[in-house]
Amino acid sequence: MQPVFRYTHLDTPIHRLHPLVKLAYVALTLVLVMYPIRPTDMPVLLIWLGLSAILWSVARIELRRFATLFKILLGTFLFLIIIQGFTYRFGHTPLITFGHLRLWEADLGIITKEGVWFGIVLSVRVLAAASSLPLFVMTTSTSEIMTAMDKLRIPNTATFMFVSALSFTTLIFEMWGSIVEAQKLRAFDIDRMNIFQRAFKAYIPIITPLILLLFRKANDFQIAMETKGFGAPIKPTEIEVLSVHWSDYLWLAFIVAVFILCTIVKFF
Amino acid sequence: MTTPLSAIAPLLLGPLGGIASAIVGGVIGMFIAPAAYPLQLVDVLLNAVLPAFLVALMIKDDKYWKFTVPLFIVLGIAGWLVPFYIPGAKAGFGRVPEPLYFIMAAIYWVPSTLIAITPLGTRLIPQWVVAKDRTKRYGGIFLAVLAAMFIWWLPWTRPYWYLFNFSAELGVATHIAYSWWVPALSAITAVITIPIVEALERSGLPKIEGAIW
Repeated sequence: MQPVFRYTHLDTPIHRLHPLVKLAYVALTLVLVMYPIRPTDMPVLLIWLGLSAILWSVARIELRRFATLFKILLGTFLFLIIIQGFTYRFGHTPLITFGHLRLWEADLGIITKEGVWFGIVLSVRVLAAASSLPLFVMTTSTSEIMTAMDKLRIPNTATFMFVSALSFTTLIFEMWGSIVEAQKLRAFDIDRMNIFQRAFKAYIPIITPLILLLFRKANDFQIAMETKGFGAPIKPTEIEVLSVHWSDYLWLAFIVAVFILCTIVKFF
Repeated sequence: MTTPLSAIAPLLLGPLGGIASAIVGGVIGMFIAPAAYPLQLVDVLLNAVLPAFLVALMIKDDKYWKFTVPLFIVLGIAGWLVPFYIPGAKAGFGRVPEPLYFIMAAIYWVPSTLIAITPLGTRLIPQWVVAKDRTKRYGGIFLAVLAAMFIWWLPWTRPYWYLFNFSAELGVATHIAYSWWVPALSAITAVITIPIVEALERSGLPKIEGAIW
């Protein structure tokens, strides 16, 4: 089992981009999606989504990854469209009428046109929010993330903890798979259980050995780190030395300019 | 699985170790499944760090109740006010029916606050979670996780209600719908925790300061 969105080693302008510029894009996305929303905000969201699409295509990320992202979020989109369709408080044009069931400000028997539209706007907002982080993950290597964290003055211990835990994830996936297979050999098949059986019965025989094995690994890891002098009072060197290029400034200016454009369209 | 595992972390790794591992685990989760974290670091805080922090407070409530109780009250009041009063109508949110909405929100913070302020929280739960008696231990872990999860539900939901522009009707309905889910999640978490704690006790691994095993 492998994560869907993982780093792919390619030589593209986005892969070469300084990680802090990519982090700025991720942070600005969060700011933009947290602006109060109105049904007329679709152009703002589409502009930002357009920026994301440009960055994704320049990074040569396959279209199927975006399709996967869309599939993961599809349930949320349907939920938003249906719920807003039924309950949007400024909805007055009936699209589908099932009957009349007034509850406080809403008539739950009617799906309104305005509500469905607002649900679509919210779905685009969620898509815009969710499209930034996969780009960062798929175009930034672990050593670059480490260097970026160092530049952000995050303590070395925390950075090391994060990076070593990140490298542990593959191991956890492997261990999980091995334990599940071992339990199947003992006629304990998690795949055949329903959601309630899984919640109360299935995870104990899998998580318990997994956590014990990880504790043992961590214990060995700690000994190995200490023998290599981890925590010695010297400035550690960087695996990958990152320098800022003029292209980084240009991309940053472009991203900030799009953000300002979105803010202007939104508020003025 | 993020939330139950984060809630377990302070029990297995001690309060500080648990919170630190929840931060690291949350950030890693964000990196390996970015689509599940649309609010990025905010999601890490809500899904991973907060459960660990609140469970850590509950198992050390004998020491920290003077901090825990006001925090629970603040989270409860803020959970009631956001988003239908703050930012409220000017951000497009509808008017919620009162006192129904206040009572619905109170279900999520008043019992937890009462547990934290009474001897159940200030004395018994911290004792029970490390008791040799299995029943007491199960009960202590369940109550600690239950109190933490109920109060956690308020700050966990509100940013999404804001993002999804929840209607007043949906706000009330969600309070009702989740009232069984939080105890169920706490029960599952307690059921998962005990065998792990017992396995760790027998493992011979070096004990971690502040952990319950």
